[in-house]
Amino acid sequence: MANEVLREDKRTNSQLRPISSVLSSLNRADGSASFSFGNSSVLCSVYGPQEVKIKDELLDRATVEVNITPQIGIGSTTEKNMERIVREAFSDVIITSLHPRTSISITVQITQDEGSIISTIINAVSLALIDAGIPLRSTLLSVTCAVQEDGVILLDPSNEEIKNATSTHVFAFSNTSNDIISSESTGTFSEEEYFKCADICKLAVSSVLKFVHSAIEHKLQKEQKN
Amino acid sequence: MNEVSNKDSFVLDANTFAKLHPKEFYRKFLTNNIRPDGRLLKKFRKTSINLNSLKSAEGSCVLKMGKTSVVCGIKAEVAEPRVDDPRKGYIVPNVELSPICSSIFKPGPPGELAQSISERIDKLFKQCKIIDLDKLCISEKNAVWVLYIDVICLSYDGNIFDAALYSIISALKSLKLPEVTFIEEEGKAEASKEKTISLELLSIPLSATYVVFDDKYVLADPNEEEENLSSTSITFIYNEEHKLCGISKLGGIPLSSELIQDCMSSAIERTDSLRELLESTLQRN
Repeated sequence: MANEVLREDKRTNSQLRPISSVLSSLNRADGSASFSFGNSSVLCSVYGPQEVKIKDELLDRATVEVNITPQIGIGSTTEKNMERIVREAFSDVIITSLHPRTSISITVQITQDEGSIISTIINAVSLALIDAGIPLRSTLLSVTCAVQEDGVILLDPSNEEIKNATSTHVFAFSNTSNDIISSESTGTFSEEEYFKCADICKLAVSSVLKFVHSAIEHKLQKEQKN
Repeated sequence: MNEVSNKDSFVLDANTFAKLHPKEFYRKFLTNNIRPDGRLLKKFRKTSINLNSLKSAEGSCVLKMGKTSVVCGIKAEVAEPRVDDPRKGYIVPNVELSPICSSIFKPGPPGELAQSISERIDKLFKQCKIIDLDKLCISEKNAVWVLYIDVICLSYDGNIFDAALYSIISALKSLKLPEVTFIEEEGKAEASKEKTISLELLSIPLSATYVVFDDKYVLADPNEEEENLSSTSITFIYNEEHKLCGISKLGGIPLSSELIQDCMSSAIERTDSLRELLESTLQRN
């Protein structure tokens, strides 16, 4: 591996940026978490189960609302599309049938976007949901990868790398299944590339999962001391 | 005695049963490999297109896919180019889902689904070279074409993304732009009335959508009810070289790669047949 060409930020092709997270950083939220891949970072708060607006009320399950605010200005169609992706991704992960006629409200503030932002958001939402104690079927985590013109696959790409890529793939996996929960691929690519990216992201997700486990353990230890 | 017991046993007729237990109703059909509307599981609805039926637009398409129908109109306008791209024209896709097409949509600003589809189509055009934006340039730094692509849904019965994308591609194929010369001294563009040029598409990406019901039944081209009852959906976009231009799987249950591969081969077939339909319709016009 010594002669592998390093990327601009001195990472290898299959290396994630440094991951960091802070749990329960917000005072008034039921659960909150910030999560970052290198310079891409988001802050997420979760409220719920709480009262639901009458028009959104569902008789047999809780309503999940997702709001994403960009770093600058108000949300555009890009954020609306991300909200839909995130909400659908968690639709089967949150056990909504336990809290019918309530709402679970997820609010995400993007604090810095340096690429792979959808993955960063999904990971932050997962952590915040755990922090809020919302019943979940599994832990959903996501990693992005980008295919360069020469076919090289870069894990956790930065904005610059996404701009030069022929295709970008966002994958979300849960810890209970080996199969794809959510996937969002854009650009031009072949079927083999798609499945290869899925395999690479699945491997990377397991290392994010290890991080999430230690982050939660760390938080619990701190709580027990107090 | 017999009469009394007959009255006691409660029998639902099919319509009531479908309303009360929609999932069970579907299961009864799907175990026999058929859907309540008479289609086989991997069968798409009958699709038809009608090109250039709007006379006020430069290019248009009316599309029917089962009970889903959309109209796509392309208006071309001459505008000043963006400062950072003085040689490129631009396109503005917009999908409208108003209460005209279904009661699930409310009046007012576009909802999440409409915005999400507009965004997806915009992204597709930006990332997979479909139109050569340089060809939309009339005079560098002075005038370029702007294509306002509006898709209006008239009747919503599921699978709106496939319908919207196919109608847009068809309308683009039928697009006729007047030949324009830019007069530098006067600073204005003049269109010739007789000569028109059509736009060449670099690739023809089309999509196919599937939903999964009960973890095992894959249904192609879902209608609204099937969309609501299913546990996940997956959309493939293929171009004419059978290369993928996008996959989007929205949450729900996990899908194995065998299942995805199975859908892929069906999606290639479907998008090929849509391209054939478009070609034959174009030749007839």
